[in-house]
Amino acid sequence: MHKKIEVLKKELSKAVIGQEQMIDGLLIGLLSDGHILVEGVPGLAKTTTITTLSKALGLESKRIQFTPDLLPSDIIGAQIYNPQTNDFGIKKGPLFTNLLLADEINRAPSKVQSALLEVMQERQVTIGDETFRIESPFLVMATQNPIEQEGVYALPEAQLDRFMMKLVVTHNSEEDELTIMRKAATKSFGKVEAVLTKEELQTLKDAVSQVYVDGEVERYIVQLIAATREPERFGLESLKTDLMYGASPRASIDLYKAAKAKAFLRGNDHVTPADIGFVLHDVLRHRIVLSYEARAKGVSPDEIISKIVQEVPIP
Amino acid sequence: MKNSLGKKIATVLIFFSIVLLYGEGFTSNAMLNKKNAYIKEPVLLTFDINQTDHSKVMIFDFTLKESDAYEFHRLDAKEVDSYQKAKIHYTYLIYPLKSGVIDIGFQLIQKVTTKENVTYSFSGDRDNVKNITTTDTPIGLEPLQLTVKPLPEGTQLVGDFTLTHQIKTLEAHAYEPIPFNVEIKGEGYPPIVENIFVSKDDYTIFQEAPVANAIRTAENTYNTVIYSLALNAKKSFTLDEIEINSFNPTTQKSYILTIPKQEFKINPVADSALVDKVDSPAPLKATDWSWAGTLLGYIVVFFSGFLTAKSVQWHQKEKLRSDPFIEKITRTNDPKKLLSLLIAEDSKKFASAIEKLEAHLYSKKPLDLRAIKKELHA
Repeated sequence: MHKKIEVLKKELSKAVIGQEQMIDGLLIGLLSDGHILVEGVPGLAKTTTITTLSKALGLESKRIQFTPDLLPSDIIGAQIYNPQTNDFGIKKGPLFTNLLLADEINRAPSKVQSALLEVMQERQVTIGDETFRIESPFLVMATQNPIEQEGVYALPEAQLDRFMMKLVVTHNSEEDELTIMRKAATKSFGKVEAVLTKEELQTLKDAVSQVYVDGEVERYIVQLIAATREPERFGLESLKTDLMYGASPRASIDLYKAAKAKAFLRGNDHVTPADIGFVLHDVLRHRIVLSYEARAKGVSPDEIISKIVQEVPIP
Repeated sequence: MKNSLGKKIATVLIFFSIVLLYGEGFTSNAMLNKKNAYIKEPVLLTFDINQTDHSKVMIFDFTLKESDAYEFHRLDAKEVDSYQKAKIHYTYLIYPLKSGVIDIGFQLIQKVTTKENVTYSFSGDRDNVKNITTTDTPIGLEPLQLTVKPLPEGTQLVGDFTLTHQIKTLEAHAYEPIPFNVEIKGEGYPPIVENIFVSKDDYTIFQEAPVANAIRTAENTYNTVIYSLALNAKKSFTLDEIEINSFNPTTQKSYILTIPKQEFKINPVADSALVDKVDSPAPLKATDWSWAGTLLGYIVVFFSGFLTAKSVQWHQKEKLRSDPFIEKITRTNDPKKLLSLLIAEDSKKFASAIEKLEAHLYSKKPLDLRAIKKELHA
């Protein structure tokens, strides 16, 4: 089963150089029905990665560029009057796809963000009187640009919570960049073929759900989340003033699912604390709310998570 | 009237040495103005080329062959500027340098081309020069022979010269330079004579290279050569008479150019007036130890650089030692604690160490904690 993942990764590497973290994040999201928020500067192959993944899986992908004048109907669809039939017809929006790249999600007003995030959660769309199911697999990869802060609508914490993971994508290594430069100049990126079918993807998802999680490991997950809410219980009194809100129960669920997917991607049939550790920062960094004091001190969510990991006893 | 007729007859008789040649579409004619000459006596050579085939464009490359039997100077090359009716008249002044019968050789290259090629070569501009494509044919010409007579023994100059000299003063202080100029003027072979002036025990001669100025004409070379000298001595001395044996080939007579004997009075200089009063003074320091100071400087600079580089290294090590993460790793001996520390870092570079710890903790595989710590420190 794990071999299929290796084949998929090999196919992706034809068009995407480096960016293993983003690829792993997308696969975790895909295998555990989560959505991914990606933060990174422009030009880090975000669009390329998602289109390549859709090609390799034989899935449909679409991209929506979020702008301040975007309306909810632009993404979910609308009822259009047909003068020939003298009736209203349904025009489905770009949300009806398998892999959706929501580019610069924080550029659109909150009503558009809410419309998207609702679909992400409910996996269904209502246009007029009709409700449509979004076909599985459905994964949204939303991007945020950390550089531009003018004219953006920051996502509220409650909506951020709907993303399983927030990946912070950095630049490639110099070696990878050299390879990208040469391949781009000579247009020698390989042609990506579909190596998995929808059915095979479903089989992989089923296999992920079968990954065993020991009771102690489950408790470890819960303790890690609990430490974000009540740090003093774990000897982290100093964090009490730094944290305004801890992670929600959705964080425990997503950490659990992400750790299982990570273990599967690593070729294991059981989850270890290391699997949790590999996904912990990505799952939690957008779910904890820092206090004003912490922000004034320049403390980042990642630092808080690191302190929690060090103090919560590992099983 | 008689003289005039005589000169004309003599001139006709002199033009003995003539070579006529009928080449490929042209004729050439070489001529010397005399058959016999003394060594270094001027001989005039004329060489004419006349194109006879006017259907082609001809260009000629002519010169005399280099030889140690004579030296030559091109005086003129008159050319009729028509590519298909070339007519060139060369004039050379030759000075034979060896006695006996000498051959005066020629080098002639005939270059044949077309009018179109010439036009094409002119079509470029200054920075796009085009060569004319030509068919080159070296033409073999018979050398002209000249009988050269030897000079009377001891002859130093050949020609008709006069000598003047100028001495600034006949009285000077010891070692004070006395400027002395000698000028030789007249027509003939350039009057450069080596070693006319030689230092002796009681005086020293300082001499510059002679300044020679020569104007060449069809008859001869007009020369002005100036020898600039300076004399100095410790005591009064006599400059002996200098004689330069000369020969005039026109009159065929020898004559002598003379610089008469000169008496110079040298006044001694009082020791008290000298800057350096001691002859060959002893060195100021017995031993020169300045090299030791320089060496010490180099050693100090070397060690400064070495210690600076080392201090950067020490500083980096110290920084590494004071890194709280490294310190925590060093202090931790519990694999679980170490695993949580590495997970907390959220860095891909610790993935390998995490996997090893994981394998030990949850799959009971052996673990070399020291090796992992060493890997992490690196």
